[in-house]
Amino acid sequence: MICEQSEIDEVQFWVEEHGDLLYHYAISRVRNETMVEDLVQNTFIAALKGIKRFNRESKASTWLIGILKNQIIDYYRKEKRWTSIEDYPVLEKAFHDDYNSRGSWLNPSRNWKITPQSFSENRELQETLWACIDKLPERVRQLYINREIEGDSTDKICEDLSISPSNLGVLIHRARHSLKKCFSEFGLKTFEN
Amino acid sequence: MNFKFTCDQIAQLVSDSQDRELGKLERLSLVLHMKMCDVCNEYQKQLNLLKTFSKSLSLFSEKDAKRTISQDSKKLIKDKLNSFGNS
Repeated sequence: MICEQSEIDEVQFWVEEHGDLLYHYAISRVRNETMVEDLVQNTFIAALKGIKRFNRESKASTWLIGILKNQIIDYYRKEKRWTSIEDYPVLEKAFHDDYNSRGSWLNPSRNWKITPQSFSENRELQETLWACIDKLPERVRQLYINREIEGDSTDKICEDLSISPSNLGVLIHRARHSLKKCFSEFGLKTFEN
Repeated sequence: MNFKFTCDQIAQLVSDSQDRELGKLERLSLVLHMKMCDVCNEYQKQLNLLKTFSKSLSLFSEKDAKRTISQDSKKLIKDKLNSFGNS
């Protein structure tokens, strides 16, 4: 593929300007440095391939992140089967351990006195939640990030990651349940100190 | 017809209600259970808060914001762009 030199120069400039941003985004979702470098590299190559379609009224960083996000989705889609709760026995046990044999709560949880306002103003609390998200199994974390942080619809996630709606429903619930537990333990300590 | 859902079943329903519209039976069971169970009420509040908190998070943590791509990697990418664009 032959590109104009100005196009090559522009994307090379983006490597300097936005390379780190893409790296932060990718490494927070894929915990494998070699793979992340490949993903970032492929993103810039895809950007050069598609540069004629880049709408110059939008930000380059937004466009690049969009390309990278699709690269990450493709990466997860190629991974071996991982789409049901049976693949995550630890996560499932963490859920069932909270209930007795009749399905009732074993240990009632403490009230959270944290408001959305106080959360958005408290960096430490945000980092605590990120640390909890980090503890999720990698693919479940990807699911959670796409749904709750990036706001993807369930339909889009099912299509992107080749997962059935019922499996998605169970996995996202187990993720939320684990995060609730983790944040209850660590978030409240942070807030009260 | 069984309206009596146990707390662990209600937990899944609470989560489902964030992603889809519940059916009539599901909604009724949820409402009935919530009238009787403080713990599940609190659970629902916390899952709602968790959703709101997560929505307000930036794209990556501060910890990950400190991780950067190496200069060598940047050079490698630029070289690849050159060879790709000129081939």
